[in-house]
Amino acid sequence: MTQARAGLRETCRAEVEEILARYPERRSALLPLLHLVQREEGYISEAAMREVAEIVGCRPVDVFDVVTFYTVYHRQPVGKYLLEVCRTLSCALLGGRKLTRHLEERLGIQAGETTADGLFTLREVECIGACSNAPAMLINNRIYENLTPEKLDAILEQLRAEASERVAPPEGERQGLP
Amino acid sequence: MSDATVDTVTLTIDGIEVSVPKGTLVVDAARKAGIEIPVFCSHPKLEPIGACRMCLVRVEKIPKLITSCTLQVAEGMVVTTNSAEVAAARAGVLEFLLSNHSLDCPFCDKGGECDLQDHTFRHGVPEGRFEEPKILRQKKPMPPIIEKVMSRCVHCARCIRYCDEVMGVGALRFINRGVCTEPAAFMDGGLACEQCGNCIEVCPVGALTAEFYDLKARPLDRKQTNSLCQYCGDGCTMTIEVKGRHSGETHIIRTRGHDGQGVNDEFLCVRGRFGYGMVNSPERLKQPLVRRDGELVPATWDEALDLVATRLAEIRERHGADAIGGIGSEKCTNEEAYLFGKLLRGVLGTNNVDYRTEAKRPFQAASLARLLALAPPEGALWRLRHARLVVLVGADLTSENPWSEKQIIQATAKDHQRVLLAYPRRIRPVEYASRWLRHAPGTEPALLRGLAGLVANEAQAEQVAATVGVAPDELQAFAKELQDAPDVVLLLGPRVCAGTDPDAAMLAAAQLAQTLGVRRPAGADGPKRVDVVVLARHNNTRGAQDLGLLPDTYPGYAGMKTAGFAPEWGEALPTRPGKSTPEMLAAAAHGELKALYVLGANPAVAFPDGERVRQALAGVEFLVVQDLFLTPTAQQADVVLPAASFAEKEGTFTNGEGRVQRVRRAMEPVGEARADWEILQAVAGRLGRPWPYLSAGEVAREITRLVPLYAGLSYQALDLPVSNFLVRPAPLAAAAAEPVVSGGAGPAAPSGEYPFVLLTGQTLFHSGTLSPWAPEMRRLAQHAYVEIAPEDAATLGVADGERVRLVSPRGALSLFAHVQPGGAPGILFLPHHFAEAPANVLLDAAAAVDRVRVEKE
Repeated sequence: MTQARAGLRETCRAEVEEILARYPERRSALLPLLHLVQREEGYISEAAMREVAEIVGCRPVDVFDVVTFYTVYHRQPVGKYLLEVCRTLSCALLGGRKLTRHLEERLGIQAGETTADGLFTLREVECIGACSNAPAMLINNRIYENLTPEKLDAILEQLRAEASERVAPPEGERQGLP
Repeated sequence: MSDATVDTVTLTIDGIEVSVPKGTLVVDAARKAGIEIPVFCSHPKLEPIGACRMCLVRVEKIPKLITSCTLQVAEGMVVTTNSAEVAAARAGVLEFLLSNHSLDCPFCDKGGECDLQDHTFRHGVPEGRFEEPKILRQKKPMPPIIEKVMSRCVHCARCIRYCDEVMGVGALRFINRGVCTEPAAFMDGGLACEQCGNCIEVCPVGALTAEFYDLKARPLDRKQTNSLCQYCGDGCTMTIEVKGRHSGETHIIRTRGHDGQGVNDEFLCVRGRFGYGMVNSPERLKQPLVRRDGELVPATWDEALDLVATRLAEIRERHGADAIGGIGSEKCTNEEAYLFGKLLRGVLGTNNVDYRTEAKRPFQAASLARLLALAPPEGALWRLRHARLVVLVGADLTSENPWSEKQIIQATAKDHQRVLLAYPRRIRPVEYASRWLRHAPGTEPALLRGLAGLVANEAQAEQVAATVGVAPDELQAFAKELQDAPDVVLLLGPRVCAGTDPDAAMLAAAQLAQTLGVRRPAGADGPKRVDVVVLARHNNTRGAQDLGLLPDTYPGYAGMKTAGFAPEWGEALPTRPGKSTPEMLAAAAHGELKALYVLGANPAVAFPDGERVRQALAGVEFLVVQDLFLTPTAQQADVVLPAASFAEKEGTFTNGEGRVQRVRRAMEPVGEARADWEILQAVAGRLGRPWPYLSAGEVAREITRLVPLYAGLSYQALDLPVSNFLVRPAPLAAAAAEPVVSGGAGPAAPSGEYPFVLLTGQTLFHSGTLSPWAPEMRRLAQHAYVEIAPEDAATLGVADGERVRLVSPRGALSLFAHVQPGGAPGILFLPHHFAEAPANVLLDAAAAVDRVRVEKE
């Protein structure tokens, strides 16, 4: 069950209007509206798809078609860091698969899953346009190229450190004091 | 160069020169030259998309192989389909299609009739080169009916395109595009659509199948018969498939559209495709029943028929012929309708005959004939596809005439047609209609009269609008669009005649058409074209009308002129109009009508004021019922005769547009059941009038001889891919009598005790008293329910699915509430075909509009 959500038209009314105003056809606003949903809610729920369909004037199944087409749209909540390893030809030839296996082992999850602490989601995706420096991956939409398992370990370490800094804010702030 | 040659293109395919109309696709041109190019995605009723790549051919001057299903012919084009290169391409495409195919052919419903099997056999190679493990996927249900096996899918998108282009529903889309592309509903869940199952029909492989047919038969087990659908008046051709060697075990396992035949181009609606189960029902009557000591007990045919003849003769002797009446059916064949009239009029000597079991007031035959004479000569279905403006009055087309609706949906999608709708409830046509007049229930006659007045500049918009309960500017705009359109089809649904003033409504419709017809739209040369289509709710409503199951006319709308029938039917034929159904039931209640012969009708659950109907039926001295089931009417009978279903007999139906088509025997009648015409002949014989028919065809021959409207009919001509025998009464015959027009009724005033208006009617899944006997249709719509607007539900504190009690001045009924988003406050809708919750107990035959109150249970 999805939790009760306040509609996009309530939470981001102005932005929705701005997006719709960009195009002569309401339907053209489909992709940016889905991005807006994802920014606000972290993923795209069934309720959100219905709402977007209503806003642009198409059927929910049309939105579902689009959401399942693009790997950039998440149908489930994802971790703080989304690791997307390319599995298309150039990367595959240069050891992309090995990278995925390495990450699976290090994180203790399978591709498609999220770590228990909610920090990492690992996925395999089709070509991300970095063939010249394969193998490559995306981390929260930032591209990382010429990867090796050693480099991955360093990256993971860095991300963990960054997360713990942010997750544990200074004492005063945590208590909500000025 | 003449125009004819400009429109024709000549090209060469595999060295064969072929000339085809400009715009023809290469794949179709090849077929014309006798060359079969294999296809999956290409379909004659769908726009080309070139998705499957199976039809690749070589065309000179085009650098690569090209899909022949998307390429239009050009003058001098040279096409090669029989080269090694093309053969390799076909084999390659098949190799790809099979790379992730489960090859579960022995357990596939499509096994033996699968395009993928056939193409692979002809064009494939035995060994694939893929070594990787196959990505196989399990069967997934798409409730309530369809099952999806994606390991068999070839991604041709026929299912998606049919649902979009023909149904206008758009229930399916490709999801998860990539190696796991599949057609799916929203969230890959159940299908919230019309459940027509046409996606199964167009699927070239076994990817989509019906749960009802799943693993029931192999193609060789089946016997196929081309026949007609028995539900609505659109008259769709279908193939009935039966299984079982001898009559005891024979049953229908599937019905499907017949490729390229009939008015329906392979289309079937949900009732046509899944409503066959009533034929197989264990509840079917298998032997005659007679009442002994108050109980209906089995009897032999001889006993039952003797009893019928003796009692009818006795009652005629004692009380006169007019103490006998007959209620026929809109479901029986033309031959049976004709013989029922002949039995009542010719043998028994009374004009007390009718087919209408729901109408509060009967219309006059002349009113109907006047409208039928305005029907489009090319056929209503064709005309609906090509008209510029369609005006829909009193018809829930989606439920009542699904194929008629699909003509309009296809025409509006192509932007050459607009639709004006006048209907009191929110129904599907609201989606595609450009205007919707939500008039007050029961004001159809006033609306039609008002529109006729407005078009003739003789009425005030304010006045009419107030009478029918709409805004004056809406009405004005509606009328203006009617006036300005270059051509109009006026579509009249059952609600037009459902009130207490059907003749006024029908006359107003005729006047509207006439007034419009003489008005020339701005800028047009000729007179404006106006056609009127009277929709037929049942498969042979039109045949029952044409063949005289009306108390005020003999067959062919000849009125009381008996000349053509006199020597043949009997010497002294009755010449005074007889009683209609309401009059017969009233006479029965008063004890004037002593015997009632009911053929395939069910007034006990259909006619308004159910309680009084049951009393009336109990009041007649002798009631004989011929039916498939022991209906509530039959339960009250003195003799019940088991009748054969539409799948078990020969004959003809006349669809709503007047097209006469053949229904054929697909299986032996169950038990001792007999075709209605055979039973009627047996009764006539025992009444001392032996009829000579050896077959239904011989009855048809008599009809063509005696009924000028059906002259020239021959069973052979009906065997064409589409029967071209169209019946249309001559305008002259219609001008006979002028009905008295009373003022159209305005909206009934709300009353405190009964605050809700009650509308009854059919739904998409059930259209009468037959479909509820089909378990497949019951699966789709199990329980009786009442539709209620969300505002009213909130006021009453009723939640969706809760039980409520409806109380009218005539009776009460308990059923489930269905909260209908967008429903009109103050109006309830009650489907009228559930025998366990007969809507008719609430209805008042004398009230123009029925009112009820709702109580929580």
